[in-house]
Amino acid sequence: MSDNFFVTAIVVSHDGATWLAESIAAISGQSRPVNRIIAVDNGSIDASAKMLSQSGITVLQGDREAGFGDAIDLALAHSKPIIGDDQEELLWLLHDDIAPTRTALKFLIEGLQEKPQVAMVGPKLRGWYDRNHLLELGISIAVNGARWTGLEDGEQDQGQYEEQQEVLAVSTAAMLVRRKVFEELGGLDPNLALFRDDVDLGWRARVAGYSVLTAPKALAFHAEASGTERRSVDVEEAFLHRPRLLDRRNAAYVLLVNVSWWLIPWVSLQLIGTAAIRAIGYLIAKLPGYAADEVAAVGILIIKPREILSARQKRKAKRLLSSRIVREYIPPRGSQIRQAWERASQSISKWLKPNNIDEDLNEPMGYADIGVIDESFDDQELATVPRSSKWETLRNRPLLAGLGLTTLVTLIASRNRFGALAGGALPIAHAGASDLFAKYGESWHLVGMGSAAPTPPWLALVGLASGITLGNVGAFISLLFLITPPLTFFAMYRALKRLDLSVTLSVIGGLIYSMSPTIWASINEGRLGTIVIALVAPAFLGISKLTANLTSRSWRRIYQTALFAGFIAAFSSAFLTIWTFIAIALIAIELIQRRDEIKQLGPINFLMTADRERLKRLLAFAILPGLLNAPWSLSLIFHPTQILQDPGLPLVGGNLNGILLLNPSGSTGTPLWIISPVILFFFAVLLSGRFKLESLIATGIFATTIILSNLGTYGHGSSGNVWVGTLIIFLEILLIGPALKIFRELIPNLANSALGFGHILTGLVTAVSIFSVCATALWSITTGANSLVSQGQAEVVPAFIQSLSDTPGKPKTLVIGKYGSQLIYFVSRGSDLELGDPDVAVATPPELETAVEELISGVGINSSKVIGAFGIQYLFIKNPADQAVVRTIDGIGGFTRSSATTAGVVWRVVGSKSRVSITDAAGSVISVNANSIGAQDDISTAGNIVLAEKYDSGWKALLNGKKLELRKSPIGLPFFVAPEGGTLNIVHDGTKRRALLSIEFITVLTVIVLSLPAGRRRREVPIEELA
Amino acid sequence: MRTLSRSTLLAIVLVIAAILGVGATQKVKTGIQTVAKFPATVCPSNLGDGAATAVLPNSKVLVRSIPTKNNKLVGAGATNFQVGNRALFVDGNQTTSISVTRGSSGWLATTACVVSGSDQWFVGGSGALTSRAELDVVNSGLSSSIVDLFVFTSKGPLPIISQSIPANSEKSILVDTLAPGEDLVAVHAVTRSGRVSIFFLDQRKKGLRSLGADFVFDSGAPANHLVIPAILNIGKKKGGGAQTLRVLAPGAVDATIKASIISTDGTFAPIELDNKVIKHGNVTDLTFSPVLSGSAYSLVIDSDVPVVASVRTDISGEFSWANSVKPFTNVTMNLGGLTPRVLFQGKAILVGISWIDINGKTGSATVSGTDFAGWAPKTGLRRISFVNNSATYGGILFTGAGQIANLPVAPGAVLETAAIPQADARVISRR
Repeated sequence: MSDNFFVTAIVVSHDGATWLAESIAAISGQSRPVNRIIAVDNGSIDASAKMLSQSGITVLQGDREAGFGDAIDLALAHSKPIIGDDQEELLWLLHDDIAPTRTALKFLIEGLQEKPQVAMVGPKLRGWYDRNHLLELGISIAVNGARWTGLEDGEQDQGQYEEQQEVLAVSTAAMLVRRKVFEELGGLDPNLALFRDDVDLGWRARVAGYSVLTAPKALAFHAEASGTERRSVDVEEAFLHRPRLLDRRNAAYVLLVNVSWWLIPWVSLQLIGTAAIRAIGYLIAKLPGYAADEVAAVGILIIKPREILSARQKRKAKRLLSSRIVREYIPPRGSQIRQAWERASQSISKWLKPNNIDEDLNEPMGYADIGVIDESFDDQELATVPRSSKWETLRNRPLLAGLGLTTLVTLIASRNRFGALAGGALPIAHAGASDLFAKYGESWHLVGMGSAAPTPPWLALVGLASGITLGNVGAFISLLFLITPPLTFFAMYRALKRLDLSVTLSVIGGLIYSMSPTIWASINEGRLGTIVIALVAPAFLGISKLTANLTSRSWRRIYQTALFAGFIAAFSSAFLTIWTFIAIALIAIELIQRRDEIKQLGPINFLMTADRERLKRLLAFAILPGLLNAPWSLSLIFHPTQILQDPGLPLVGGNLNGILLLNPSGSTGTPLWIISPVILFFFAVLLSGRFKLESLIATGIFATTIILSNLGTYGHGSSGNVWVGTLIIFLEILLIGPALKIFRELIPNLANSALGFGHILTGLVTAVSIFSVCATALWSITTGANSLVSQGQAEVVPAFIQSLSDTPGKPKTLVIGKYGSQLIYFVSRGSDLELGDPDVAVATPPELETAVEELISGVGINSSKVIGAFGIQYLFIKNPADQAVVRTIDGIGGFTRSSATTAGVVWRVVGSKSRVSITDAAGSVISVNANSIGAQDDISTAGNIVLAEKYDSGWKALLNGKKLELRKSPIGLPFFVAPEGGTLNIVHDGTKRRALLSIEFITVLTVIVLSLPAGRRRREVPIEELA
Repeated sequence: MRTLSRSTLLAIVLVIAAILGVGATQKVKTGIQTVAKFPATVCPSNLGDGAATAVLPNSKVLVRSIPTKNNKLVGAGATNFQVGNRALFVDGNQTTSISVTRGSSGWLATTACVVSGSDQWFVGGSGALTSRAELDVVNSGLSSSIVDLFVFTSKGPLPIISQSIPANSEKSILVDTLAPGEDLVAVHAVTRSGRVSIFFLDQRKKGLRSLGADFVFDSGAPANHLVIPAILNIGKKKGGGAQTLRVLAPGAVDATIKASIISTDGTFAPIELDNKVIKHGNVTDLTFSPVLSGSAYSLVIDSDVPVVASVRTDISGEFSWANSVKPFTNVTMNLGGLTPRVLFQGKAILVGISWIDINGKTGSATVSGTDFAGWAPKTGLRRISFVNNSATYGGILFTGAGQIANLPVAPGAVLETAAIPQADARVISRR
């Protein structure tokens, strides 16, 4: 023994029998022996005390509820300090779950030797189970209370930390501290019975002018039994024996008692904010107990401020330096963010791996699977070509080539689509994300003559997604349309890879899909819903597996699938209907199959006692997608024709020939001569007789597609054909995989057989596929680039009328124009149709329809009066205007021509009413000040208050606080009879809408939480995963 | 060869059934819906010294006088509606209302109540001392309108005169203010804006003695081939004299016309009207005196350049203007008890006629013939309907004691078919 230290080891045990045997042996077997060992057992109910005493160690008995500091105090009270000029006593504080290596004490002492300013030194801590896993080399605390080690998750010890370094604190698990300094500092804070007492001690030592060092050569293995909840925490301060609560409370305590006083508000705010964020995180991870711990920890401190004040007083007495000197040991916020980001990106990349769910663990893993190289590398033949040209590189990397090709095609084809897009089914998107959310929430929409129709949830989803472009919805939509081809390629590629297809075949499938006529027709016609579905729906390829093994699937998987179905349903009411119908049909089949069981048990007993796992899961499938989209989905029950509507405006679709070739064509769709190979796939799959479920579903979809394509529909403020592009997308998703599988199996057989019918058919399908992809690519970059959807389209409504839309009254304009040879009209609120507007537009009141009809036919002598009564102040005929109609309007009277420009002709409607007006007994009409939707004004007279909006039972009027009865005028306008003058307040009552949206929000949140991976309590983590 | 499985067959059958189903139900999906309505018409007020009666389809038809304060339409209350000094707005109806104006001196003038016209040619009237011809311009719309009047005389065209007509009002314009002292007048009225109906009454007096009156109808746009189907043969009438063809070639080139008289006697070209050169821009009167056995005839005019024309027939104390007409199809006219004499001109005439007489009895007849045919009931008629599918021109003569009036077989308002505008939000969406 070459040093002048007297080492007193104090081992504190508490139900630590699991680790104690090794710990005792390790302490006893130190190369530099311990001079004195004292053990304190805090009321262990296992064999801890016995094991210690049997080892010949003096064991002191502490309370079960005593903390670590209490135990140390007890030990010190029973051990006289060694006082001498040539010897100094060191305390080696030891947990019962730590095993120091043989030389640990020796190197710890070396860390202190000849460094009188060093108060304490700590060893390098590595994991108990994974003995190479680095746990700590000194510790600190972040300003939000997080324990900070500066190490990465799961970082292995490769000798990278071998130098002594200054730290804020070292763990009490194996801390070596000078006894005189320890006692001078007042020992461990009794308010910190467990957790963070080490950080607090280190902080106090620092401000008292001492140093704290690590001794990396001193090594110990720590089980962290309390932190990982391997044993109960019974200290007095541990409310409800919750270690996390105690840890968080102590973290906050340490910060609040040690930081400079002027930092307390800022630290408090951070603690509260972090606690809230963590609580939400734990709730999402379905760990409500931990969430409660986070909130309660801060709450406990807030209700006991005296404790903090008292502790700060004590520290002030012993503080020699400012608290700011510890600043260099406090981790910067950026490092925490960086660490969080790394964790998140690791999780996402793990999730994104195609085979993360269904991967077969028995199959040997490739280099790609272990993340060493790109996925496509697995399929390459290595070492045959040491150097390759760029073309060969592309050939060898089909995924890269496919992505490159689709990207190149979309970049050229989108040359007219860089900017704010509009046209076809897609209205302009001027709004920001917040406007879309507002539109989603509002109960009355200023579209046409007004509408109380529920807004479809895709609007909120688009608003949410536009966060990518910082809330600029127009930019998001432009971006979405631009990247759709490569994204659909990649989506199909991933889906096919999951079906165990090779990279090459998956790339071929991706190309066929991304270059399909339906995808390009959707882009060119502005079919937002179909585009989104085309991007996400390939993930449904494994659905048959899911339904086949429904009961074996976890509920999380069920919620995930339901959430996914709900997402697609938000963009396609037809999908929602078909999905719900199939789920209900499966429930019915299940009940029919189990009818004997039901009969035997009786319906009630069956529901209470029988095995209902499959039924419950099917029920979740049937209900959840609809519930996630309520109240919009509920409106489909009352307005079933809306099922046939896709987001945006209906358009005139393609003909039957096109549909039979799976080409929805349309006005700017791909020409019919570009035959989609998927129609050949359909027959190949059908005739193979192998994929029965896929064949059955595909046939059903195909037949439905053919029938629906012939239907005309009115809705979304317009009329057109039922858009069947979405159904064709589902058909393609369903068929490409099986067809490629057939192809994969057929090729080797054909190679070994004589030329025959099979060769010809396979050759034909291949030729059509290659031709289709190439022809679509060529068409899309030439003719196809001149699509309905493009940027920089002229505004419809004249500028001077648009300027009026900024006024609260938002005067209406009747806009008349031509669509083909059909004369069409609509009421504008001073602006062009915007994203989401068609989806809430409802039929024009019949009285207005008649007035417009009579106006156009020239027989409506009173048309101007009716049109004016609806609050329409202007009539605008777009150019090219029908001169006969212009003459008719000029002649019919009641319309005063305001202007005739290149845009069209504008008339002012003589005697038009304002949006809210009151007609008194004398017949005088007085305007009432309207706000954005209702009105608020003082009226001076009794009379009929007429609202120039469509009649709806949601309109409410209060006059001097009293509710007025809602009535309907002879021309269908809502009106109220005011018996006197006074303060008038007209609103559209959105209570019901808000209530339904709240239910939807709660449902969405709940299903999201339930479908996310559940967090594990620390005690649930397997030992193998522990450090 | 492998046999197809049952499910494959079922799938194929399902798809074929869907295709067949669609094929069977496929229809024109994008056809434009139209609405057919008869527009409202306007009957003239009392013009000249006459009293006008509007002969309406029924007593319940909605009418309003022009002007009125509230513009509300009310039930007429009578079939023969005494119009008074305000023109009458008549709600749209499939039967043509007519206006019968009787002068205090016994003259008779009839006209159909008409819808607004944007381009009308009135060939007749006079601005001379003996004439009190007037244009009755009725604006039944709710905004003011402007009418341009192009007046042609025997000396050529006069400068354009524009008239502003306030909303919902009637304005009488005397022809002698348009063409003072001009005996030969033709007026081309172009409505620039507004819902305007124009009537032209030509009334003549010599001192205190009435020479009669009649409406000059819209002759339609200038054409190379004109048919004036119903002209009274006054050769056999007591006090009858020559008849006058008024012709105008409004273009920039002189016209050479050739007229044929077609009657039950056959077809011949009167020498007075054969190969006559009409100086362009100048209104020309050509007098002729046909010698026929029949009581009425048709006049067919062929010209090398488009012309407009009408024939004036004078009898003692009365005269009438017969204008060129267009072939008619199906027309129903309310006659209010007048006894018509209907004359048809066409290559192959086959017209079905049905009527309700003044006693409420119904009857029907079919008139057929080549080139010329006529029909007259025994009693006065309340209503008469014509069904015709060939290129036949028709005119009605009303004759009585010292009365003569002319009315073309033409609807006052044709069924207006307009494409039903559809409420469609696409109109305010870009592209």
